Amino acid sequence: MGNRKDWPDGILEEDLEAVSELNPAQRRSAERIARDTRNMNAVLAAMAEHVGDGLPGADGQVASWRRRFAWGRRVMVPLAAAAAIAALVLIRGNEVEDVGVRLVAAAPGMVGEMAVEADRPFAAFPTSDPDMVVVWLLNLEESE
Amino acid sequence: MMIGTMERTIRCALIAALALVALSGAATAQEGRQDIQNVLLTFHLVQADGFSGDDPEISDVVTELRKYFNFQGYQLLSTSLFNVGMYRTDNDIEPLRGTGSQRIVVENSDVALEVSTTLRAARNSGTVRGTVSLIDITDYVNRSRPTNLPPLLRISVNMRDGQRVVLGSAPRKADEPVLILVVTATVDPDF
Repeated sequence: MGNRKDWPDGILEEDLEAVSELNPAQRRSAERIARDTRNMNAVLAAMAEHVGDGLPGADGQVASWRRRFAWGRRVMVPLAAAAAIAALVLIRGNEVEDVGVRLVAAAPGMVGEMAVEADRPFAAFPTSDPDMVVVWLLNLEESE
Repeated sequence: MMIGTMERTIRCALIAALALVALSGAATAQEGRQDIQNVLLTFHLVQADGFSGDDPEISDVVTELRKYFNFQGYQLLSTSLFNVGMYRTDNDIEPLRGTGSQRIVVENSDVALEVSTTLRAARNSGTVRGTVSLIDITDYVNRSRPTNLPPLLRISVNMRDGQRVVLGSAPRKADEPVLILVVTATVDPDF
């Protein structure tokens, strides 16, 4: 037991002294418990260090970042809320529900917003001209 | 504590002010947009294939068509246009409506076609939704035709000012020509 001085925990050391007369199986069990305890202590110490890093005032840089985020929330949240309200109003203003058909003001170059409907299958092709779209009606009977 | 309350109050006031500004701007924009009064529709009837050249009047359309189709040429058969006046119904909530139709005369041909359209437009909107039909009325020129005559082409589409819809169809029979109808919408044109 020349390596007993390597044990950091004096209480455990004394306990081991107390059980030095135990059989080898019991001693191995006690050593395993002591090793797990050391590992757990190391993990807890590391966690405590990380938590301390995030505390206000513990680090000037961290505090500075927190102030910046707080400022961002104060400015950006109202702006985002206003933008969302404005977007809702503008979008609603350009649509009309009429017999199940949704009319939406069109933006350039978008085929989907033209809401093409036909009495048979079709293919819609966008063009390089944002004001032009090609719609080709298909004859399935002919193709079959 | 008091500073926190003031910050929250200022934040709420800022949100309300910005929302009011946005609402005001949106309302002004809506009020500034007039109802559509007229829609001038221009129809170019084009026959594909069987021609070696392209018509310069539809060169920009042909350029786009050649990206997708391999017809030899495109010939402009006719150009027709008519104005559709939009009217309100008794119910202000309903959209504006308008209809129109015109016979298409094809030079050097016995074929008689008719193009008809039904338009709807939301109030204070610059977009119209049109249903366009092209019907072969050759056999019914001098007599009444059935109401359920099947159209050669029919499509419903949202259109805004200056937009063109190039509507084509594969022929139902091998000996039928490939017809393409180019529809151009002009909202509230200056006559």
